[in-house]
Amino acid sequence: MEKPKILVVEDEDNMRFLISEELSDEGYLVDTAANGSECLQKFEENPYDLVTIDIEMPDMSGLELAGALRERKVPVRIILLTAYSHYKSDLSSWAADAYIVKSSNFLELKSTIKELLNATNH
Amino acid sequence: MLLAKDIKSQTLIPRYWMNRREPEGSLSGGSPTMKYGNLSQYLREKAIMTDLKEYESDKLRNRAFPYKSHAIFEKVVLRKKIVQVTPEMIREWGNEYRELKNLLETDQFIVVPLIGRLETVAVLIVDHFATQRVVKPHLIESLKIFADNAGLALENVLNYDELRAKTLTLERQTSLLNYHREFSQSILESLDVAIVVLDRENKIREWNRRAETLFQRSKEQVLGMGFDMLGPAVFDLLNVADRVYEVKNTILLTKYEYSGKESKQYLDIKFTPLRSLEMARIEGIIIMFDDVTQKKLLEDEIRRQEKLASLGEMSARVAHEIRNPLSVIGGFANRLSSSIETEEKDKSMRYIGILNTEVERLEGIVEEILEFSRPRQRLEFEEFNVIDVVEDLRILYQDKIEEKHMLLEVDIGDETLFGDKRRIKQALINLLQNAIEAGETYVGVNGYRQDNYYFCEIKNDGEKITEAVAKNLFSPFFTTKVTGTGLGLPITKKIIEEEHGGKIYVRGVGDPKVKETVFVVQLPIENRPEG
Repeated sequence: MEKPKILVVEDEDNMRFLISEELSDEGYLVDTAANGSECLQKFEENPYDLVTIDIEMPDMSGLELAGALRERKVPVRIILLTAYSHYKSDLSSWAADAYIVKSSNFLELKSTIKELLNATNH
Repeated sequence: MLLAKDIKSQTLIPRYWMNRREPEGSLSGGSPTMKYGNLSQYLREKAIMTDLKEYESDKLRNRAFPYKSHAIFEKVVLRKKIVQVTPEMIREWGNEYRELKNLLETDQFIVVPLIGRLETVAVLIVDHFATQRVVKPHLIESLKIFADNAGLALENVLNYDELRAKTLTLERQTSLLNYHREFSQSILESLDVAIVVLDRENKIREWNRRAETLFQRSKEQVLGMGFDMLGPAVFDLLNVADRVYEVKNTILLTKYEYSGKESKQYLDIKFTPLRSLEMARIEGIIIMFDDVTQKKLLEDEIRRQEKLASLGEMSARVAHEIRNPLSVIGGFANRLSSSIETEEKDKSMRYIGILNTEVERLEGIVEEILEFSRPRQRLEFEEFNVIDVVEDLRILYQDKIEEKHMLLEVDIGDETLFGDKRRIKQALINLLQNAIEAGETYVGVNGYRQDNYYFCEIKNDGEKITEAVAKNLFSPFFTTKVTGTGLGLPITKKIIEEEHGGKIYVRGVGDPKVKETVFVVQLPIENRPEG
């Protein structure tokens, strides 16, 4: 069985490293991008099963990026990561499949990824 | 015939002529006087009944005799002599004598001056035409007595008329004056503004109702007294008043804190020089006190609300800023415990390095937040030269500039500023750092003095700031950078505006014609810290 490929989009270096380490532990193939344009470029070259996107990024925000991916009809699960807890209730989820509030505890993120990937497979 | 004297034209003007043609005209007829036993009673009654118009003859109209250098009239008017004219004189001396003869239609007459207290008031010409009698000397004597009395009486009447006219004018002017005075008084009293007028010795000349309320002193108590009688609270104001004499212009103090007998008040105080009518000398000072306490309290309240609102906003941002590093620290601390167990040394070292970095970052954030929210700290104001500060900056950033292969252009004048050198330096560091990071090939520092301000411009030729970003430039935690708390500019703004009473703004936003982004710092030259 092929390992699922995940792209981590996050502007802060250490956070990006942390997420990719955590997800690698789970057995996924993890790639990273530091901003929206890098992300879109990577999608031109490879397909990914899931992408985690930090909402609060300068230049292109995570929401804009998610919208761009959807407009291009890129077949991928999108998880938006945010430091603000109110986003979960405020925003409608037309672009993202899930919203996760950032924390040092990655359990929620990991279980959500597992859920979403299983849903795709079935 | 009675001739009036006109001083202005120096002429005698014939007024009334009791023409002998009419029988009424003569006084010598027996019957009228016989009727009255008393001459004065007769005269009195005659005067009441007389219509003067009867004695205004056409022949007299528009006639005027200049009396100076007139053969007869000069003697009469100026030398106050009675001149008896005889036919012989007329024959011998002709001209003016003949002129009169023709006018009077007789060649024998007496010209008599009617003399007031000092001068001839009018001239009377009498004759014996009716009786054709020769004029005897004793008649001249009687005439003289009559003439003198008549002259005095006439003068009195003329004086009285003049007096009446002058009194009327005076009355009219006085009532106009009173009207204006009352009008301006009522304006003064109705005003919401307290008005105090001081003379050159700073004594109180005007004190309106509002002033009574403001200073809790009645008009009677203060009028004529020195302004300093109000106590030490007004000593500062007297200093300002003195300044008005120096600058010869209006001085305005806004939101001046005045501790009156009751509570603290905020006043806008305007000192205006009071000039004499010729506008030459300053005669005193008009001081207007406008109570703006309510306005200020309202402004303070608004500012407080705004601060609270932004505080809420800021709290959210602060939480967000802290959360990221915390997540990273927590995450790697977890991983560290595993990697130590599995003895993966390299990994562990890397994780530890990251932990340290993030902790430092957190410390930096906390420091900046404290810095930003600190209330006005004890600033140390001193005189310092702008050149020193900019030189330090140049040294500080030399390497970074060379790294980016950029050019740093410095053009500042030699200017002594008064402020907290450390803080101003901090502000400029923030600006210069931003400029260097944003700039492509060049960063410029420009300084110059204009009016009462020192301007320092820091510019770069990097990507222009969009209008959307410009709106939030000085908002806390707003940043377009990947790393950075976004507190640099807000702190700079605090230093310049709150701590030094200056201004900071950006030029070149949204204007495609302007090639550079310029941050302008405007510092007042005469700056003194508020206690």
